Amino acid sequence: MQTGVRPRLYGVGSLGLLAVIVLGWWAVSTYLLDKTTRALLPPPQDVVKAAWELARSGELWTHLRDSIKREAVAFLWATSAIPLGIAMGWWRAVEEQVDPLVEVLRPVPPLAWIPLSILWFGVGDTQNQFIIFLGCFFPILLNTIAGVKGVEPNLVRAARCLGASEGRILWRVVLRAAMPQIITGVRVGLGVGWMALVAAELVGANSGLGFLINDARTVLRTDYVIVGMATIGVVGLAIDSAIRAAGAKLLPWSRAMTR
Amino acid sequence: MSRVAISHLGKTFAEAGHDPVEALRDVSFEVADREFCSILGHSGCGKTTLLMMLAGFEQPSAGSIAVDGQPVGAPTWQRTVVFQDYALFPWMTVEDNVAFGLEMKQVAAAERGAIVARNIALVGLQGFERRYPHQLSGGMKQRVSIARALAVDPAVLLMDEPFAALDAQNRSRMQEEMGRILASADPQARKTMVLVTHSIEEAILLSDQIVVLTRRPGRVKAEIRVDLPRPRSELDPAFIAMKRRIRDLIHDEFEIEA
Repeated sequence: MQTGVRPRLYGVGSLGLLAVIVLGWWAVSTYLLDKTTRALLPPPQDVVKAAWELARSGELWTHLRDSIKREAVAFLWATSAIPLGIAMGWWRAVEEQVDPLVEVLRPVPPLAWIPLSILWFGVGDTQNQFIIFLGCFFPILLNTIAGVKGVEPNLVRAARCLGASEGRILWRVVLRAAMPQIITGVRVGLGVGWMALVAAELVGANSGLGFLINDARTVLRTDYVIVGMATIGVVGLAIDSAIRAAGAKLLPWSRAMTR
Repeated sequence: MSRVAISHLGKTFAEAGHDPVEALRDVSFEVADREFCSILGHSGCGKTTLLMMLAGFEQPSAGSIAVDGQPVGAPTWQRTVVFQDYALFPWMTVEDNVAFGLEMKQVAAAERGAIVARNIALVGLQGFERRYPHQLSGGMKQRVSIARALAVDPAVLLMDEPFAALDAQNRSRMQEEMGRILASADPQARKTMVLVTHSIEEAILLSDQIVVLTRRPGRVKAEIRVDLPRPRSELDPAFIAMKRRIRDLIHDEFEIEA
């Protein structure tokens, strides 16, 4: 049922601009920079070589594993936003109590929590997970609330007159009907969380991709820095694509998911 | 036995910051057991509000509604609704939609299959059991909705402009088919039905009784019995005569519709 006007997957041809940029990078690094400044922007082939070194030594995988583990643990905690969002979207009294708190906390960027969270949790997994959790939580919460409020009133009425209890309506109708928007919240939340993760690791960790690039900076290994940055980008893209694919697979009825 | 008695019913919507809107005033009529009653009226005459109160989604501001002498309370499977926008669960297949009410009613899983199949056959959707609503045409969606509402074996079937969203051809086909189901059904198996519509033809085609409402606030303008033999034809002179009569009767209430 692909009805999108624009094709979703891009062909090899659409990588043209990327190729030009890499070529430009290579030309600048090789011909414009001298020996000293080249250390700040190593040519692409050096970066590939560095990636190979880091992959072979296993260092890259250790850092990647630590980062993904933190993201996963924090995300599991952040899924508590789904029941909370359903309650807030469904019962006005819950929303009235919780909403002011949410509205005050939401504009505080996760990064602003880093100093306090280091004092609370010290340097390490817990602190990182807390920062990622903050990044994940609010997008999931706000999308869940919007999803619940957007449920067609007649769907709820239909379920009511077919004999569904309040609990059944929430579980069988409201949750399902809001699911496309909840998944959108999960996508946004994992993205924000992934960005927050790297920032948290820059200052508050002894492992992870954020730690890797900061550590490499202190010894001027810019090739490692770029490898770390590229890994962060590719993994972020992979997580987002996986969620999108899962959404399209699990919710074939939703236009929002298959578009 | 499912007799619907509406007595001195009134409904006023009062919203903070707005003038209260009186939708219905002093509406009284009865629908006899196993009869088909159409509520005919102009857009905004409160006919849908009346149906929502019959279902139990809205509470009357005045008067009462009773089914078999019992006042209508919260919504129940005893009074199911067919909505203009179908209101099918888009994440469920056709058969899961039809089975939903049975599941809520805690009908044993072993019995559900046969009931679902019977109702899908009744509306002529065999072969589409595994389709999702977005894969069906409007007419087919409304058939699913009718099958879903009938599957729980309600005492009263309520329909809110069920064919209004369909294109002209599909609409007349669905009306004819509804007429056929009504004509052929075992009188003992028939439900008490209440249909809300703005189409005079649809009301005559299907009803035993037509209740005409005035413009807002809706009051009963006329109650008309339709005793034409079923299945009915729009070309039947008696049909045309009745259509003219109703049109004249509510001339001042209606913009003439083709």
